[in-house]
Amino acid sequence: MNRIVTSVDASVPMARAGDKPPAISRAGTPPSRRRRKPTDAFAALWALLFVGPNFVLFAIFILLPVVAAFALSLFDWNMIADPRFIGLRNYADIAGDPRALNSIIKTVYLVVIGVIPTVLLSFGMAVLINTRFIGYSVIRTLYFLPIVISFVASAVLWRFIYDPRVGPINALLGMMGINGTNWLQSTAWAMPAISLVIVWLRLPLGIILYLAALQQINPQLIEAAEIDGAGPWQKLIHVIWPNVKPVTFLILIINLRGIIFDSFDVVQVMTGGGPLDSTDILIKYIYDLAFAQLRLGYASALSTVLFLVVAGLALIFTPPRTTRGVTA
Amino acid sequence: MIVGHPWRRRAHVAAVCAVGLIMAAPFYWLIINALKTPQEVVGFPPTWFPHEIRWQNVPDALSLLNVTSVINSLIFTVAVTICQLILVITTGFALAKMPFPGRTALLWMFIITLFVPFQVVLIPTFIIVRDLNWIDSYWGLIVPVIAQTSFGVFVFRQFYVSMPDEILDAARIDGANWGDVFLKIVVPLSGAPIAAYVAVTVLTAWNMYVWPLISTTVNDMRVLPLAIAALATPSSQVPGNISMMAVLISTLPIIIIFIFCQRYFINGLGGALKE
Repeated sequence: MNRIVTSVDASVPMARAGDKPPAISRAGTPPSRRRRKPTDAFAALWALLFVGPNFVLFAIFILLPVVAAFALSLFDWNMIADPRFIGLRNYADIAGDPRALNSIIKTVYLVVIGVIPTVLLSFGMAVLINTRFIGYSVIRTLYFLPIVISFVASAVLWRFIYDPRVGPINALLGMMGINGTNWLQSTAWAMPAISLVIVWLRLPLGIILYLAALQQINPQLIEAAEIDGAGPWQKLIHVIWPNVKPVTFLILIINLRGIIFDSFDVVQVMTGGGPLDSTDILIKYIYDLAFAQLRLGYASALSTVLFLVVAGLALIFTPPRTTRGVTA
Repeated sequence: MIVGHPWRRRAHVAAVCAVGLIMAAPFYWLIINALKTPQEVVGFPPTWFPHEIRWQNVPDALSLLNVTSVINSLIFTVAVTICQLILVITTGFALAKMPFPGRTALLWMFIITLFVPFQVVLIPTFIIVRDLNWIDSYWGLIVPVIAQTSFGVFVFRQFYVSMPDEILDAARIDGANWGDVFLKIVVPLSGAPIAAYVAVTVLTAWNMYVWPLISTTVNDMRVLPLAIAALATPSSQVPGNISMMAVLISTLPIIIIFIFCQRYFINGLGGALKE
């Protein structure tokens, strides 16, 4: 529900990382490890004890909902009257629903102005702080701080920062002689304003992942480039950037997913989808459909489509090497 | 990375500090406004440092947040973290080391559900909780969140796969059963991933918004993020200094934990790469 940290989001790196063929194939060949041990007769019972409780919860609250989410999308249901089976009509209705189309456009817009700055800035900042000096760890903490504040709390804070009268942004612009606007009440500025908050919230994870990747680059590569006369900029473009590419894909996917699914908190608190639906992203619309308009079937159809699109995009952006690992 | 002239080194350090201060600037704005008087916080132009510090904002914000929402957040966070940890560590271990029929299928089940965002199953989960009559109860608030174990199971399964079999076999041949092996050998060796997992889960649970929003309707069941979000509704009459103090109070525990356990957070998040 909340960015990276949730099972949802953080799952992506782990899944990628672990999908390498050896890890999977080891699990796939349990018979080869049939060694007689004293209590092997009870092994299955112990396994039941270890896995059982989790499996029961998981079946009820994850597996069942996954199936039900799709099933529900084939019905017309308002939680009060009996559900009515209408086949794929909910899916067909999406094309004729102007608010759905608007929210798709807004979602794409937010993804573009959210994901790209997040990736580039977290790379830049990771390169910048990949160093050591006295007091370094204190300064580094400043870069990671946004990760601790909840989306909701930061949305409340940023609403205050965007305040047209007493907010610091307009005060600073005023000092430079620029007349700031009422950011969150402007159809043109509300979405960029939200994207700035989202990027700020998402930078720390990107920086942490890029830092880990930078520290894995073989220093000899960089030395070799220096010997060949590469300047800092050339090193960055030709040595460092290509070497962190897998992490770039990872951060791209995490943020793509995260911005599409987890931006609800920020949008709900900062603009509620307004003004004039200019920040009405899909996940906000789905929430309204399900929990305000009680159109559960239609909401499920939209969220199924959204999930398939994101899953498709994730596959496209996955480096081929990893994909092979999954299917092998 | 940067070598060469001292002036370049100094410029680099200055840049690191400057960008860091920009990243943290919203927190500065949060803190100074949380301490301002109601007059100063609405004064124009805004002040960059409070002229007069008003500590009365602390009790005011606390009474606004309501002690029950603080307690609910604590219960929610502790229950989710402990229960989920127990589930993922046992399942992860079983999937890595214990032979049992259906193990591979189970592993794949967890891996595939890794890719399903919670938002996609939000509606059916809500219906299930409603049918269980769990709306507005701790059960409804907590259990569906505990059940989101795919990520944790996967993390611990990966960790235990790399644990050498010899450690376990030695004990098993001495007649120890799986329960003994797990409690006396495996758990004590799992300190690092447990710390990382706890750090990340506490952060997630403390900040969770959508599920508590949907699964609770009464004030007595509110958690902190819900109480905080209420401050931002257009109809809210709460003065800015009090709402900033409320945000600060809700965030401070996590900031303090983060500063002391930064290593675990970063290992927990960045560690994914080392696989």
